[in-house]
Amino acid sequence: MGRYRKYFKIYRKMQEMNIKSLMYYRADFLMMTFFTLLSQVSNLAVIGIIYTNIPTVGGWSVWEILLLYGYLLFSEGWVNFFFQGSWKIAQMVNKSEIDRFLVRPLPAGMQMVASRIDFDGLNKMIIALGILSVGIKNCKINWTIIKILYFVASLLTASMIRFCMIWMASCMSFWMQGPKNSLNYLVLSVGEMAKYPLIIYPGLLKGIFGYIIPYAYISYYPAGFLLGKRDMLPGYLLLFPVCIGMLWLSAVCLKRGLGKYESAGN
Amino acid sequence: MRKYLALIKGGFLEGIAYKENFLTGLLANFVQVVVFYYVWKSIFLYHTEINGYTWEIMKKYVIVSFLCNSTFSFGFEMQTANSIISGNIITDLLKPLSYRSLTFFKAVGTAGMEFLITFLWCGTFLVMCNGMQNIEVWRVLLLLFSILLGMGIKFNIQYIFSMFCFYTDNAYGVVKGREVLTNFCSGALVPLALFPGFLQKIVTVMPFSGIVYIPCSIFDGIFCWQKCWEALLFQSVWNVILFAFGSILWKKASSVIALYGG
Amino acid sequence: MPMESIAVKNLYKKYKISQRQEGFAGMVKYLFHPQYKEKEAVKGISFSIQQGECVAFLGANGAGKSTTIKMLTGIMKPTEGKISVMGNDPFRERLINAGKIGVVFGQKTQLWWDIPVKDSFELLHSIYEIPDNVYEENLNLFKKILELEEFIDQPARKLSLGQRVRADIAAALLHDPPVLFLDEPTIGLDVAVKQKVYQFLQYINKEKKTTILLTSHDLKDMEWLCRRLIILEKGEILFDDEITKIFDNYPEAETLEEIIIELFNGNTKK
Repeated sequence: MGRYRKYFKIYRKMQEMNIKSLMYYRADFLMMTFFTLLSQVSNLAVIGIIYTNIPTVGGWSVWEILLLYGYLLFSEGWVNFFFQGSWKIAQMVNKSEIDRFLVRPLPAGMQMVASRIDFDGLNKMIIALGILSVGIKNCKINWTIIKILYFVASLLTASMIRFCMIWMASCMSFWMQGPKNSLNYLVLSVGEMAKYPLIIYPGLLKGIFGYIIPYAYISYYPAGFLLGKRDMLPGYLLLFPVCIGMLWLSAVCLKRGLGKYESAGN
Repeated sequence: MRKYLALIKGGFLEGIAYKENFLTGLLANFVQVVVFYYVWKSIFLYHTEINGYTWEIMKKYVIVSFLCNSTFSFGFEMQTANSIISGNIITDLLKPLSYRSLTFFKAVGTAGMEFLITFLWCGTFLVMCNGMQNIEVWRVLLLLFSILLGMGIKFNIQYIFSMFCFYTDNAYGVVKGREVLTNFCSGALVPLALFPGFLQKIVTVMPFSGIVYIPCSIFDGIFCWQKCWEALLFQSVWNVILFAFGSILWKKASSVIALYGG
Repeated sequence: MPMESIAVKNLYKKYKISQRQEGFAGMVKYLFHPQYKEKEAVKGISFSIQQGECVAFLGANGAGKSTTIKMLTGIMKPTEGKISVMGNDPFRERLINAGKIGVVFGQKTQLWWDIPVKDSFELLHSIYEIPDNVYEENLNLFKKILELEEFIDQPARKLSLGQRVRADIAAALLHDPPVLFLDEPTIGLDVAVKQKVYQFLQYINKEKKTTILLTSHDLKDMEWLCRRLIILEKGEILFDDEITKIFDNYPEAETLEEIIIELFNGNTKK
């Protein structure tokens, strides 16, 4: 146990150093914030415009859709802020940065994840919380203690599921030739579908998003449960075992990937 | 003439070499289109018509929107930025071609490939869904013409944005900004006719509408014969304006290179 | 009584290189019937190094030096054989072994790129769990001998090569590792900096009895630092003995340089 406390302490220090190194690029930071705001505003505007024409999509009102959006944006920011290294695995493999990690007495995975930070992730999380509060204020949710706890737990769990998806897509770099791996961006794009309720999609896609690229658990089931929508069972509970399963799979991917890296050299 | 062909071919080959990039971009575009297909489908389950649009029309809109967005998807702003940083831009400037022509013909090569593949895909899909009977040949011809003009607008806008790369280190931000703005204002996701009052007025005047909304509307029948030609004129005019604006920006930006030196 | 610091027995590293033919037909063939050629980068080498020794690995590119060092530091998995560094298997017991070794890659840095060097040192302070007094003492010592004060507040990306290598060596030794690996450490350095580096390493080797193992192309590295030389050629050990003894094998040669040139020209006389 003491070992994990030590790892957490070092993780925190590495992130502090990451933030410190960002100070050198202050102009970039302002630009990033500006463009994040711009992106979010136009995404929301698109949703808003659709809703000026019709009252519901798949039975969900515009405020309820904001909950879906909030979950998605929060999880995206979470990965950017706490686990940004997961986006850059292709680079690390190609430039043999991992050698550096392997000669230190720390788990390689942890070093990979903490090697970068995207401060914009914090912006995204804050904006997401704002969107979630606006949505919640305008929806009729019957709040109970359980629902409040579920809200916090599901937000964090959804974020970890998102992390696992990107992590595994990025880990494919261990087996791919060439310096680029856009699978993680692809996974991010697929997330677009999670902005809208699952019911509007045909069976095949529902299956894919439920079982293969589990975006359904990142926004639809948690939000649906809070709103008291039908057919949320067992989805809203499966959230947690799915997360654990994906964390395990991610660990396996890393282990196999490192094994390949260490066998083939670079 | 030969040098232009050589550039086009170069762009085409480069496009094939970076096919992974292309496929990812294509798939990302495709995902967005699929999402909107189903969003509108579910909406049209409960409404037969919204502001003049029926599900039949909307389906065609979504497919043509996909086609329009497939070209110039790489966004060569990054390449420009990189060549500025590395200094390679100097070699480009020494070539016996304007920088814009250079970029254009290279991009056209890649765009040609993107368009061809997407066109085949879309065309097949459309015919599978709708059958051949509703397609009026003259509309298809006008559509192609409009897409060409739309591509011109898209290129000019990217060119103008790439000029900003001379002034900032953050090329990624420039690309993001251009993408977001274009996506929203071009009607890629929501037909401009569905925008609320004042927004609609602004957006229909801007050049972005020529990239997606106009070609789509020509094809799916929203525009009558006369309106089609007006729209094509609109696109042509904007092409000229943007081209001129690009030239002015280039004059200012290229003087900045002298400051950078080596 | 000096202990065995590094023991290598029958170490092999074999690669499978895929044979792919040109063209479309070749690609299809590869999909269904992939063919591999086996390459042996390291062919069953064995050696043992005592605590406090300083050993140089010499060899042409492709002779197997880098591969061997990678296996010794736990970065690469051996195909066959046994390695023991301070009693641990560097690959299987990576975390434990990592705490006991210091590594300097000549081409790559261990430092964090965008933060001041002294902050990198602080991070290493935590990562290696160095006791505060040891950390302070080592830091002051290294600052003095390697003259780090002049750039310790700068981020690594602003350092010249010489400054960066000095910082990297300090970084590798902050936690008092009993074993230090250096992979081409003096590449690209000018003579003045090399002198500082040699003096420092000699000091460390003498005072702290640190075992030093370095790979190099540079004769000066060997003449100044190491008593023992191991020459690798095509994955095998050609020579493993005191540097002075090499002249016994090449009686016609007058300098080490001549011998090396002979060796690299493929004239192996053993």
